[in-house]
Amino acid sequence: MKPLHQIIKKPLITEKTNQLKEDNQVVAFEVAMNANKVEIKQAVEKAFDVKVTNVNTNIVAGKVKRVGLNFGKRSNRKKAFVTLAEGSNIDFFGV
Amino acid sequence: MDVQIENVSSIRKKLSFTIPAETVDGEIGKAFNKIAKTAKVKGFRKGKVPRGLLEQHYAPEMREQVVGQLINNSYFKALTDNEISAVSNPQIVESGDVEKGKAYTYAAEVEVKPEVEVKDYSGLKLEKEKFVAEEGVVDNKLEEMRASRTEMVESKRKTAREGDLTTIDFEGFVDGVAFDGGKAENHQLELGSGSFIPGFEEQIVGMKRDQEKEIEVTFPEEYGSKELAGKPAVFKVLLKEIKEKKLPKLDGSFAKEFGAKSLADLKKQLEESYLTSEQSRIDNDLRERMMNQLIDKNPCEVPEGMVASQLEYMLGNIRARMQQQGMTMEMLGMNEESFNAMYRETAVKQVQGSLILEGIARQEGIEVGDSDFDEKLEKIAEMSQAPLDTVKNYYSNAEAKQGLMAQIAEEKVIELLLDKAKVKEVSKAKLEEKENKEKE
Repeated sequence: MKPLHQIIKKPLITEKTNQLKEDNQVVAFEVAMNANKVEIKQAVEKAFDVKVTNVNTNIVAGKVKRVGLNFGKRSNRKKAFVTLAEGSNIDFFGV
Repeated sequence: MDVQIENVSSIRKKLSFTIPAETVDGEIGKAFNKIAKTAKVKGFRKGKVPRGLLEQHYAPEMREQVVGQLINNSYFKALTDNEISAVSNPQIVESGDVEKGKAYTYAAEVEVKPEVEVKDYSGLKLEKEKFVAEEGVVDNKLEEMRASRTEMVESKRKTAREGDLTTIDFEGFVDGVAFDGGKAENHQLELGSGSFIPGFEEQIVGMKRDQEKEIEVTFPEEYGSKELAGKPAVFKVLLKEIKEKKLPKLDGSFAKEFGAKSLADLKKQLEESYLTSEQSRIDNDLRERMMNQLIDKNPCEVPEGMVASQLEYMLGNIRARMQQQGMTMEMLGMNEESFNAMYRETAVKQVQGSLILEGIARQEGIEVGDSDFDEKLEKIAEMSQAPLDTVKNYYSNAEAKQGLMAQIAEEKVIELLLDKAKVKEVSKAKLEEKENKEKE
């Protein structure tokens, strides 16, 4: 298995994810583009010592940005929404 | 809330506060509620940050607010509860941590007005200047007044004399050629005033009216214009008018011009004003010497806050006086800083003096009643020639009234001290001699 930090890049803490966590026991991460759901499940369970019941992922296309005449594209990102089993909790910075 | 008061010195007090945990918690909650409204954290809209995240991000702001609030609430309450009259802002010398569920402690040091215990204030040995009326003061003053009313009158004499005001036309030549600025008509020249080049005015003396004359002079070496300096010149001069100074006669009409009924009345007025000004000068000198003695005998610490406010008061006074004369401090090359440095010692002395006088008033049980106050008001009204009601109105303001009351108390104390003191009259010359010695 790949090292954990090559799968989970960082937690996503926003108003929306905050709401999801409170209502549905779902936490969100930004993950590596090449990580699959199985890997993500294993990684989260290992890193935070929790039980995961479901993982949904989606890919956010990077924005096309222009500086003068030059066009550039920001990298695509993969987000993972991880549903935790009842009784499990991940506490990011006391949220 | 628990307060402990400690005397650090006669002018400093240390207040130690302990504020219970519940109060601290309440303040923390309030502070976060306030912060939450404007807080900004990435990923959240303004004001929508959850409490947990907020507490992490905004702890320093919260602490600042809570400390400020707690000190504000407790400090001023402690002052009024314990009847401490602070003369400066408090300095926070110790401050504990603000934490949920923990009591907060801090200590503040503040300057207070010291209560001076005054010793040896009765039976002071003082020297008072013996008043000796100087002769001729009134006459000198009269002469001055006369000179200020001098008129210029057409002279009956035919020839000009030193001291006369003449009207002349002149034209100057150097090497037979007229030069720039060397010609004038109807120029007024006072003979003997030295306003022209040397030798010029002297040669006009003795000229007759309507006489024309050529005057030969040499420009001085250091003359303003380089082309002319040191060169001989010829001036053609026509003397047109001769006027002489006429002093007004010392008589009734002269006296009336100065608002007196007769010459004798004017003299009397002058003498009176001379006497009162001398008398008040002597009294002031005596008071100053007395205060200096008292301060020497009763050294006391002076709170910095009082000195600062005294300096401010003095500065304000001087500024106002200068403004009346259309000047500013800056024109004299002074600013606030140099002023403060220069007059600090005076300010300290004045504060000491008023503290000592206050102390004596307390020890002697001198109090100022309303009757004293009314009396003083009448006096002020009389002196400033303002209607009594205006004066009363002005002093109905609590602050002004308090100031005046303090002034009356000081006057009473000074009177008492002078009563008890042994005053010896000494001649002016002796006093001056002594003071000069002290300075050295």
